[in-house]
Amino acid sequence: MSSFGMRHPTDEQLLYFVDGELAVRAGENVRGHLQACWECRQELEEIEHTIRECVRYRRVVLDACVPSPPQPWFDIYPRLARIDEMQARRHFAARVWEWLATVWHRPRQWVPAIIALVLIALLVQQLRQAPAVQAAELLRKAVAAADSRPLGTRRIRIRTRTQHLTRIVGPRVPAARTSSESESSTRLETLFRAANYSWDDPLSAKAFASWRDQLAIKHDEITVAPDHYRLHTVTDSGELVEATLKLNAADLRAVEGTLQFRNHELVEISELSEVLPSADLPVPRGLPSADPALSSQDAVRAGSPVVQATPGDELAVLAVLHNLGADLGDPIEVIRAGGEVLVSGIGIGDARQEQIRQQLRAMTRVTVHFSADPPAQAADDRTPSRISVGPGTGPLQAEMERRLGGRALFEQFADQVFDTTDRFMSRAHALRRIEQHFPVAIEEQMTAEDRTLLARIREDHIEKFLENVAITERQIGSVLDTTPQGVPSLSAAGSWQGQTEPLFIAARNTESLLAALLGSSTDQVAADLPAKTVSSLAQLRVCAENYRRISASQ
Amino acid sequence: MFSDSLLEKLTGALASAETRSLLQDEVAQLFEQMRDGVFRYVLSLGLRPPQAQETTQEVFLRLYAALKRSEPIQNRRAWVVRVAHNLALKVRAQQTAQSPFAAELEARFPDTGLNPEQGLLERERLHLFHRAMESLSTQQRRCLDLRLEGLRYPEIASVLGISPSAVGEFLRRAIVRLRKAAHE
Repeated sequence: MSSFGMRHPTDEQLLYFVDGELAVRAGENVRGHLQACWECRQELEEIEHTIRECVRYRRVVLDACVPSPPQPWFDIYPRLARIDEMQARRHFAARVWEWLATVWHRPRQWVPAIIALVLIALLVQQLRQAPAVQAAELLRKAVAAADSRPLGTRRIRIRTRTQHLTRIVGPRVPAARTSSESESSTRLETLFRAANYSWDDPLSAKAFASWRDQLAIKHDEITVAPDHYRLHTVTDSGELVEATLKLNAADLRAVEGTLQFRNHELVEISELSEVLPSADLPVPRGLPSADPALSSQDAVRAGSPVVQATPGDELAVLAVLHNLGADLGDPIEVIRAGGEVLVSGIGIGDARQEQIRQQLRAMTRVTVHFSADPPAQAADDRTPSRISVGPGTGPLQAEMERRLGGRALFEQFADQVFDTTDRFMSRAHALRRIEQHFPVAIEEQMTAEDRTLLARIREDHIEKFLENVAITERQIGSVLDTTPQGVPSLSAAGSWQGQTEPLFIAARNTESLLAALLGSSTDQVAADLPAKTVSSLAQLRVCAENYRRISASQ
Repeated sequence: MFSDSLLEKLTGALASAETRSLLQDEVAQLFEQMRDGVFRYVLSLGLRPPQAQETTQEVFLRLYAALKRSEPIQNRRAWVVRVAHNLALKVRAQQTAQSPFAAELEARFPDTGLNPEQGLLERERLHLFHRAMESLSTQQRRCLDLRLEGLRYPEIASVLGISPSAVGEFLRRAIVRLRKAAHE
């Protein structure tokens, strides 16, 4: 519900606004927005109209129907006077007792609070004196513990309000940016460096300690939990004004961090997988094979040349996953970092893991690392949300039910549509992932052979995508007599990379419209919903055909 | 003529009478303003009219007694409705054998004074709106009733023992449900 980047108030905010319950500033913001936005003014008018109807209903219906009190209202003054008399007549002891009871009842509310406050004050006093020392000591121990651990790499996720990226960090990883890191990470790196916070290994006690040590004025807080310590440092100086580091209680390993910068940028860093000891990592191609135990770290130290994994290596891995169908929903991530391609996944079944390992075993410069943890809530939106038909049906759904011959058949029909929607959405996600792995600059470095392989994978996805869009169009066409409108013509300009995001957005819009049409969501319910859905499907088909044409020509 | 001590006693008694009178006036004024709304509200909680009236009157006597005991009551309006709410639920619980009051509204939509065709349309609209009102959940309906009585969100929250944001959410959902009926 956004046009030209406008952020419309929610209907809850509008109701709060109408009722005068918004804070002054928020109220001014809404008022300012309403002056500019016709759509929200209409929304507001509808809320006010509903409120007027409520008032009218009460006046016309309820007030007229609610019975009058069976007796005239009593004269309250004599009753109040009687209360006075009763109170006056009471024995002095009774009044004292009442007063004591009142006093007794009230302290039961505030005495515990007072005790708690005193305890908190004592605790705060103690913590205010101790944390600075404790923090320095804790960090010193954590740095020592990190130094004593075997050298290795690990995967971390960095999230900001607008982006997230996954990085491989550790001593084996060169400072140069990996292919999986987007160009936008440059801005973050600059921010980290300006704050004197290590970008090379930001989720570490060492980085935190280095930043903290150079602060002239700082305030520390330490929270101790059974399984972790949380260190929170606030300062007025520098670009980074607040930082939190969570350390595992068992081994003092940094597992989570939050950084609040002066420009209000909030960065959350979390560990994605365990440390990969150097010895577990494969020896990169190009290293002397006489000593298979020699790690690439050793090779770097010895000054031996290290062959870096290429986009071709990454593509070869993706091709294997594609042939296994593991690029269509399995929570598998492929990252090219350092000298290798890292294939990782969380919550993959044992059989599937073995299948993937077997196929990738022969490949050099590839590390496979699956975690047994259940899949976390995906931060990106690659997994299509599960849609189910809700129990409520509006007039549109009722009409479709009628055409299909009943509720049961309608539900069966909706399930079929959602299945094909899921299928084309999974292809859209796969194409998007390919575009993220192989932007124009990377593709230009690839060999002709690799580019052909990449084109073949794209072709496969887009063919299946079109197939499922066509099935959906037929399914919807069987229950709606609507002609698509505003369908754009084919054009073959631009790169396949440039066509990917519009295709993805068009697919997601169509998915939303289909969900609304079939009664699974109320996001876009409107009279012209059938026409919009049919047109959206037709536009999606044209968009996909454009993609196919451009992809084939490159 | 009067000794100093007698004069002091008289002045104290007058001051006390004046204080009492002021407090009585305040409660009596509040009773005047709020009794119909409170009566209507406790009826909506399922009390029969005689019990509803008795409960309403009782609440204001309790308010006076509480004020006399110097209990800290920051918002008298909210206090009255909260006590009425609790008292009504207690009374209702003791009278489970009785069926609660339910105005048979559908059979009693009043004559709107319009011509027959307009009157029919108007009755149809009211009927639809009534149906939508009936479809609200208990909490939505209570929040709406109290809002219609002029209570603010924090006051409603204190009456129902929920948070002000929950009040906002119940009202929002109620408005969403009623909106369709209001626009037909």
